[in-house]
Amino acid sequence: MGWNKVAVIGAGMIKFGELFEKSYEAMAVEAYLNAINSVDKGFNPKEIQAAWIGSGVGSLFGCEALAGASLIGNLGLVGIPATRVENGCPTGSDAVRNACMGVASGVYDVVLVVGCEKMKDKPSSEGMIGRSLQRHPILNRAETAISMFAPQATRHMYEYGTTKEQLAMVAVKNHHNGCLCKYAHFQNEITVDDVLKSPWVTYPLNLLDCCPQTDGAAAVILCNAEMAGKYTDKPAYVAGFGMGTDYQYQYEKEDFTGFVATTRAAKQAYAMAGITPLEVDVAEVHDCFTITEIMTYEDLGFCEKGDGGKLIEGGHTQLTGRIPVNPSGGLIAKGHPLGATGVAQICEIFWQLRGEAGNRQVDLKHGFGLQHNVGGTGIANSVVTILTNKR
Amino acid sequence: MTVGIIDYGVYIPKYRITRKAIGENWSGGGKGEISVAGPDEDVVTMSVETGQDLLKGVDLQGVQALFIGSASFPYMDHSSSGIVREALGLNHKTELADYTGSARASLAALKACINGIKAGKFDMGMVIGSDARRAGPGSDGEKEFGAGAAGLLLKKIEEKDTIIAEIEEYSSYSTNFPESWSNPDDGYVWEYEPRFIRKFGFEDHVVKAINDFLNKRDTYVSSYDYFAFQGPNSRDPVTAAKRLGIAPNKVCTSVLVEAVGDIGNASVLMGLNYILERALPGQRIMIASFGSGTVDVVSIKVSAGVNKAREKALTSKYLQSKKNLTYVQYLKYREVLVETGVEPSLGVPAMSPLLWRDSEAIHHLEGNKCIACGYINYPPSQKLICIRCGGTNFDRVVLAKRGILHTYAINYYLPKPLESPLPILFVDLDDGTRMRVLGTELATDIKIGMTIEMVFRRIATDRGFNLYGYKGRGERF
Repeated sequence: MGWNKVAVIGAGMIKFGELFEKSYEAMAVEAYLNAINSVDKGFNPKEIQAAWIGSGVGSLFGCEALAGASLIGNLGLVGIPATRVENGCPTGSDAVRNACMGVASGVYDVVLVVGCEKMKDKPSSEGMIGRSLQRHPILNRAETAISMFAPQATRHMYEYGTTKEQLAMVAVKNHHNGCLCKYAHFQNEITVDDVLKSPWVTYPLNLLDCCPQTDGAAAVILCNAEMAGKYTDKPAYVAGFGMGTDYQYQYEKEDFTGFVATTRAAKQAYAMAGITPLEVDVAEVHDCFTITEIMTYEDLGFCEKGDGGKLIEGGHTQLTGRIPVNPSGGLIAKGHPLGATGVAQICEIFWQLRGEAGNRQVDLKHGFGLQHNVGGTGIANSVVTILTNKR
Repeated sequence: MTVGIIDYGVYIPKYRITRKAIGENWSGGGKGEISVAGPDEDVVTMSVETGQDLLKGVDLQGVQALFIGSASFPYMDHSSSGIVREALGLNHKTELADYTGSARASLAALKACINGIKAGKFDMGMVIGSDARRAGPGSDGEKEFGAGAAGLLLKKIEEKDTIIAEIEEYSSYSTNFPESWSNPDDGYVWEYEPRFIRKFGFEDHVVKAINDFLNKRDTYVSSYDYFAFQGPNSRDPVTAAKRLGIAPNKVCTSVLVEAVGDIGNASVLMGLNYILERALPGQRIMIASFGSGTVDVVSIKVSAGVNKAREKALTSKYLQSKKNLTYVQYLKYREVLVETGVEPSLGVPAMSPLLWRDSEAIHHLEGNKCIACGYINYPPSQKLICIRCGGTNFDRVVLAKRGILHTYAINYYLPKPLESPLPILFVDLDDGTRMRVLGTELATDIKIGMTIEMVFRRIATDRGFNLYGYKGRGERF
């Protein structure tokens, strides 16, 4: 059986998008209230003993010294311990991981995780694209997110014959799923041809191979698994989690066709949950670019190394496929507000495992769902979380 | 005491524009092309490329002087030779000097190096002349100023040495002549009435200086087989030669001017190098600069080692390796046409202590090679524990400057001041180190497995301060 020491009892998020009208704080509050109100048997916010707040790139957007305390008062919870987590693209999921450890240690019984990111208050050239001028002025020069993932795509295509069409199929699938998810930034179907004809952003990736820049927030409430029944009859248990790292600079990597941080995180999570990749019913993975999802299939063991392109081409990761991936629309359609992303993935897996995902609900055969992020400088951080509906 | 030339180096940027392509936007045109410094090139980067060629196979510890002459150093106040020394990995005790003020500064540098060796101050020194001067749109200079660098490695000659050529004598002649000037306000070089300059400037001065040199030594122009004059244009050296009674085919200057333009402080030294690739042992060469009314005349005798120069044939290779620009590209590369908009500042300023700590890693590509496992950790300032094996003992090594492309991407969407499309390269260097560099001089025809050369370029400019480092390009030739 899985680790199952911590349960998810409530989950809430807001519709992701270009939320010019909503402040950072308002987004967090809305997600928080949705999470509170989702608890089946009712929930008193005073029961929250500690909070973890995931915010990935506050410093790029004018929140230089963003600390846990900057949000907790706005949630009406001033006074409780609140810690900000910033850990690249797995920021939200790492906040959840740390919160799980806080509960499992016995120090807290009930905790809150909020992931929140305000990305559209600055123009692209000064925000995420502005990263190209940040950090080490030579070693990281012009290093936007896509400048890290695109060279790996080039190498994957070179070594395994992965095609542009296979990459595009990821975007088509995730846009389709996004149309079924009311929280998704994009709600439109696209075709392979649309992807291939969209403008180059960074060769070999076109505009529709990329996730958008999105504002958003998501929240989950976790408790000691023994207490879950007080709040709900349908908790999701944290069956396992893992975090893996790789070298700081991308040029230090030994292999460009995958993310070893992910394989390391996944190995820990599968071992903790006591399952193999074949027992995963549904996965929310880090598709910041189409190539990332394809490499992640391989890194998570959903297919053999090099077969990621064939897995999507065969339709195996569609909602009705052998291993449905990104039913929520993923980062590509739902959006990628960094700190919120991992928490929102946990929300989706929570709903899927409870059978509440409506017309994007997948078949549950084994009762396990997996969440995954990878990113940060050097694409060197990965978190994998496995939830289960089985005690 | 004899001072000899033991090696030479040349650099000509890849980019050219025809005088016609410039002139058709204004008036006139003219024959031939000028060389254009790339958007990431300047006197410092061109001097480094020249120096790297010059120093192949040379014991760097033996180089005790580095003198650079230029009228277009990137800084008024900050030593360019200091940056070049670091990039070339020369000894910290190397005597450095930046010579400037006009297009003959490089011959002032040459004379200082000769004098230093003759005075016994040092045995081996290096002289580089380089320029990338800018003239305003529509001016004559816009069609004349090229970019390039050329250098010589000079040494006190022992009997056993095989040298390319021997420096014989030199002299100077000077008046206060106003042929051109520039000031820091706009960075453009201005020139007065060209006919006045031609008649009373270049011709008069060169003829007087050479006649004076010959008369004092009781020798004749017929004693010389080749001449390299300053090349402000292709016509003046020819008319000066005519007045001196020199056969036009003995003067190499016009060939270079038609191919690369007026390259200022690189002009005479590149002319000399061009001749050395053709001359025979025993032949004699006269070079003469001209700048702000000063002419330096130097007499050089070709030695048995000149075959080395002929085999190297570097000048000819650079002349043939080129890519033509449109007028708009030219204006952008010369920063005459500048994109508007907000420029996000560097997260870490170019003059930050971070970059000072990494100076040798950045400028000279130095890494920490793990003694236990052989992995080269880069940059050394950050890698005190080997990332591969945990070892803590290292040898400081200089990374290879060639490699094979492991993978790449081409970024089409970047904020100012980054130029798109921008190739991002991961290169497996010949010593096994994998490096990430930005591409330069690369079109979109990039392929995994192609050879990449690591070249010294300006990476960024922040508050007027330049950040230099390495980029990758395809094999130049």
